[in-house]
Amino acid sequence: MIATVIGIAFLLGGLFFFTAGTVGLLRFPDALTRMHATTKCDTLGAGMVLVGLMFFEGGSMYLVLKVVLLIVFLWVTAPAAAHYMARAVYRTQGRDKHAGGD
Amino acid sequence: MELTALLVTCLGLMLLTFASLYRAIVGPTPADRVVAINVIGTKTVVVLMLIGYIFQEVPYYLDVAMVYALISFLLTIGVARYIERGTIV
Amino acid sequence: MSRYMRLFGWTLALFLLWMLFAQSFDIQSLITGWLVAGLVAFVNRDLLLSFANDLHVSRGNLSAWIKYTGFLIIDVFKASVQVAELAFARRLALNPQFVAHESKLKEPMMRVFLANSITLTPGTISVEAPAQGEFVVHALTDGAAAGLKGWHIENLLVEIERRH
Repeated sequence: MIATVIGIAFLLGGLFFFTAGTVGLLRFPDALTRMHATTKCDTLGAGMVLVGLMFFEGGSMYLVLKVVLLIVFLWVTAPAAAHYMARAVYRTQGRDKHAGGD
Repeated sequence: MELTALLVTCLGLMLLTFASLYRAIVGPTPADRVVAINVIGTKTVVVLMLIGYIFQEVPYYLDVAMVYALISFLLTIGVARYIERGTIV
Repeated sequence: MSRYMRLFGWTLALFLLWMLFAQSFDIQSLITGWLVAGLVAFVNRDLLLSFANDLHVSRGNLSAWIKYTGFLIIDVFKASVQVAELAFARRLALNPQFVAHESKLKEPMMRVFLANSITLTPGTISVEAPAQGEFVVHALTDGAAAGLKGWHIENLLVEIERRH
């Protein structure tokens, strides 16, 4: 019972952060600021929802391990993908702000 | 109660996906579109997991979610590279 | 430890990963898994052999690593709350800017960790993260740009590098 309540709290918290990320994506003025909103909120939101799911029944030890693997994968790749995108935007548009690069 | 929470989260995420789709269609630059599609990919992974728990078929949906996460990451890297250099390879 | 022993260790680790995904113990799955793990370890041998060394995990800095992980999770939480505040605010109070950041870290892998931490924590995204020279960081507000000097997570990473 307690586990279910904790799980539901995690699910709703994750949903809140996803909402914040999407509102940021729609409201912020340019691509880089939108990236700020989506990277942080979506990473945390996905992590929270997946952690919440682990509290629900129907999962064996195997499944918990795999879900942990999925969370680690999302947490490692999201900043890498965001960095790569930000660099592409910076190198194609922001050259005039900073001299340098290659 | 458990099922209700799962359904609410799932439906909320689907609505948010459609909201993100606005940015993917309208977004003025290619970078905006890629950011939006990246977001949709993350949400899809989570929605797949939720559907797995709703239908009590977690192992199958978990595998699909993992492969989807991998492909979504590769897509972002590929398009970023294309924006930066003009070619993918 | 010799080269072959370390490659064998990687093969074993990849085989365990295969077992985690396959979830079946029949003879066909075991043989296929062993062959595939060996093949992957062989094809990626240069990457795998240098990876364990680059990762900078040793007995001396294990406690610093654990501390780093804890602080990172707390900071991701703070970052998301901050973005939520900014996104739901009546008026957008943003001042996006590029900031140059000089880092004391030397090892490439530790600089990768720093770039990822910068991206995940409040108000900043790493834009350029070269192997030498200075980082370029995109900051969302003035406060985020100022907070990058003497940042506690970077100090932790410096400590990890020193204790290795």
